[in-house]
Amino acid sequence: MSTDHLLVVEDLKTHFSTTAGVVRAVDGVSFTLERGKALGIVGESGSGKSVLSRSIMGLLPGNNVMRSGSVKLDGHELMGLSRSEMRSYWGQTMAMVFQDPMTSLNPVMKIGKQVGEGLRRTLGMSKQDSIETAERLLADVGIPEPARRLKEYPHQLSGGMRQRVTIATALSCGPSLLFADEPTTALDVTVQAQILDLLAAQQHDRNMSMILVTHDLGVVAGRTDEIAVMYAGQIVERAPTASLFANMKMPYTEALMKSIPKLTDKAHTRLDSVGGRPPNLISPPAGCRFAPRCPYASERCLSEQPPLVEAVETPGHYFRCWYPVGSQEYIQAVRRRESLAAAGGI
Amino acid sequence: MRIGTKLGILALTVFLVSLVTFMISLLLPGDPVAIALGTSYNPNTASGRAQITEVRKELRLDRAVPMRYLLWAKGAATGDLGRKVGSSSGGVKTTRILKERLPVTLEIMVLTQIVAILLAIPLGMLSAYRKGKATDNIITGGSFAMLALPNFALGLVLVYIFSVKLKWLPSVGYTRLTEDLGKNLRSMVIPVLTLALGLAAVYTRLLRSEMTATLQEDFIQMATAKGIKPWRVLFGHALRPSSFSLLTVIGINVGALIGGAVIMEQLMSINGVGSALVESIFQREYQVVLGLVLVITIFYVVANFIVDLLYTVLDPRIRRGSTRA
Amino acid sequence: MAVPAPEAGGRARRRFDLRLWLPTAWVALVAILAMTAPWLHSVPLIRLKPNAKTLGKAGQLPSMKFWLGTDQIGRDIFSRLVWGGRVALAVGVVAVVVAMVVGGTLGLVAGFYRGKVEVVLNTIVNTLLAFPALVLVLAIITFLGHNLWNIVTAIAIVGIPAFARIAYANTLAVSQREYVLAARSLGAKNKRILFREVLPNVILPLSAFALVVTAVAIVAEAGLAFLGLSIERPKPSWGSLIDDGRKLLVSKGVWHVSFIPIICMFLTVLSINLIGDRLRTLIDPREAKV
Repeated sequence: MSTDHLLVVEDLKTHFSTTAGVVRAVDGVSFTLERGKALGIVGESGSGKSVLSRSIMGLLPGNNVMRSGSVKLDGHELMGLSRSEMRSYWGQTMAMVFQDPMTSLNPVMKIGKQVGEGLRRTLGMSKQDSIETAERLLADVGIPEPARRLKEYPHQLSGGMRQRVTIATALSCGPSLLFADEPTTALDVTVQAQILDLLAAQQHDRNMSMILVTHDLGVVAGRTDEIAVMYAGQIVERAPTASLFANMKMPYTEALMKSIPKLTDKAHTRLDSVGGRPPNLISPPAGCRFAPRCPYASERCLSEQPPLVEAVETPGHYFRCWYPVGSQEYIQAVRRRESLAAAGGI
Repeated sequence: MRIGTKLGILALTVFLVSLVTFMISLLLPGDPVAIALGTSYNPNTASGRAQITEVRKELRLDRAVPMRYLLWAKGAATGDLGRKVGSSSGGVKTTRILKERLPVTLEIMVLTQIVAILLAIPLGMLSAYRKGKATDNIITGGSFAMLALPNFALGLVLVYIFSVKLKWLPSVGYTRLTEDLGKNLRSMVIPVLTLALGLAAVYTRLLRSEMTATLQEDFIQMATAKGIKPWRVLFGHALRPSSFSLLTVIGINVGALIGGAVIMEQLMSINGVGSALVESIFQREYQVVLGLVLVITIFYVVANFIVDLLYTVLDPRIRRGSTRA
Repeated sequence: MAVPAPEAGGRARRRFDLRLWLPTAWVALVAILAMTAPWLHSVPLIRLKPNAKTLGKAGQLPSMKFWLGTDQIGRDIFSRLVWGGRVALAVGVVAVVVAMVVGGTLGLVAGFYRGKVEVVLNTIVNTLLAFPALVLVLAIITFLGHNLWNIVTAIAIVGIPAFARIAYANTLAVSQREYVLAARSLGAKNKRILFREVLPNVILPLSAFALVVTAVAIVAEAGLAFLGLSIERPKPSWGSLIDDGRKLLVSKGVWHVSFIPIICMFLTVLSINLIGDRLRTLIDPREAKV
């Protein structure tokens, strides 16, 4: 391929050993991300999506973590690097915006110091320069009166403002890859869109790659180039955003889609939530991991694990399903369910 | 809370403490005069009777109890904390005892707090950072051992090691700071080390648990993800949010330290306020005991008042009067 | 989404826990010996003679005849240690139970009935807490005089405010819980709520705290004895045993006369602390992994 791959992840596994057994939080994930592009990673809580981003960054602490596979950033293999070797990437090459701005800022440190800290410590900038740069960064992320904010403490800012501060902090050292881990989940609905648009604009302006982790397909819809859907530690569907929404293959993606409220719905329309619970990651189901919750599952789904395959008609669209949405078997299963429902069986 | 309110509470506490101190003196069974004069007087002679009258007046036993308190409190407020009345005591004033002996005790206490904090901060942080590993187990085990060893026992062990066996340090006595700094510090090593080890164990345990909680916080992960070195994350980000309860406990332990100073002064024959208190108890110099107890307690109350004010410096959230998240 | 943390294994906890049973065994041994001390002088092998001076030469090392050696005037250290344990037991149990009952009641009443009682009791508690503990004990025994029961009284008085404060805080917390509010809204009587709902929730933290205070009380009495302000000599107390050996240690380098009671006391206090620590872990799951 001639495209410019910034990040190449191959067969990444991240397991935690606990007294109850080995938790396979990330279980063989592969994908590539081009420079300047955004990838959305979508899944329920417990799907391994947050562990995935921390695992790529090498941020997981503790000696109960087992990682294998390959993570190449700009052609350099990151797997096997020590924490102190990884540190030269943190901030400068890879940065992360955390979920909850109420807890991800140090409560007893002034905003200016927190934003400028990376500049001083990793880029070796002088204190004066770091303050000036921090002020510019705060202005970039849309914080009014940045000079005054520098001298304030986090508790003096609203949630949305705080998240802007963490974004400014993450951007401070000019990373080429930004992770945003559910960056709006903890915020008021009214400011969620603002923060997401800010992230998308910054990603575009800085020609930065971004991995946006969320449980909400709606969040990634217009803001990422590609979407990967995760389930039980694996990618179950990956496609360019438009292709995914136009032609989703996985019943799981379909179920996630149905759980988003639409403007066209009448008030009090019942949302379809994905029934059941995500599987136990210590001993995942033998066949397709979604099969126990899949309304269209058949014998084969329960016994044989489907591979991640490329769709014939839409290249670049991968999915992990024996009977994808729209296939002959899928249609039969839907009919079967309908007849059962008509007979009052459900 | 405003500073004015805090000062009001401080004044009220000082008043109540003086009241309780005075009330303790009412616990005395029997005749205070006889006890004060011991066997050295004869009530049947004119001089003996005169002595009794004098002592009764001195102890204000001719007055009603509330009046006695008021006169005592008034004296205390104007710098009269009573004097020794025993026949061989020469009528030494409590204030003179304090003037001579307070610097010694203060030096022990200040040095002890400094050494204890300097020991506890790195140990507590290391213990939390290496939680569950060998380093942590050694530090935790050591703290548990120190907590179970009373200061007089630990002091004797140190005397045995450093004075008796190694002959490095004196086993008794005290050289004034103004006389010889080197000798002064040498005479301080055993009492200060003894008290500091016990105190450091308390601080280390507390800092370890606070630090463990802080290290789970998102802002620590965020600092790490910025590419900040671990020791900088520990000292720059984790220490201050972890040190609020440590500050309270440092204040509270001034009380334990006063008790410890009493014992170490006695063990090492150091002439401090603590040993003065014990001597006065043995000599049944009740006025002096009351005076010393009052001064020591007010010192403790004020120390905690200062700690309370220090919070404001450490925690910006309190500075603005907002409650903690 | 949280990274799954390693759990403190449920299976491991059910195993025979040495860190709980070893200290418990030691404390039990000390307590049983102390309680039975008056009868032990006639038991053939043990033959406690705490005050007999003619038993042997001074400062002897442990032997078959004197299990833990003899002190500075030739008395049997083992016998004195066992008798001294009675003082530790009296202080550690009686003083602590008195302080817990009185302090617990005061805190419960203040926290449950609120109003003027609360203000008065809190003022008293805060005033007593403003004194350095040892200084308050010294002040009280200065005027009361020092015999065993006055020492117990003084330590109990000093322990009361701490218990009161814990009981008060827990009562306040429990009284605000939904089930108490629910019981109240259903018309339950104060007394019934106090005994049925509040008391059981206050006793547990108080008991856990009582173990801490037991260790502190034993150390406090020993400290007083070390200063010569506990029970009159020659009656033995652990603190005075340590003090007795002090001159021998400093002048002649004979260590065991002081160090044997030190070790005994160290093991006892360490055991009580370890038991307390284990129990708190079992009571409060939040501390389980510490």
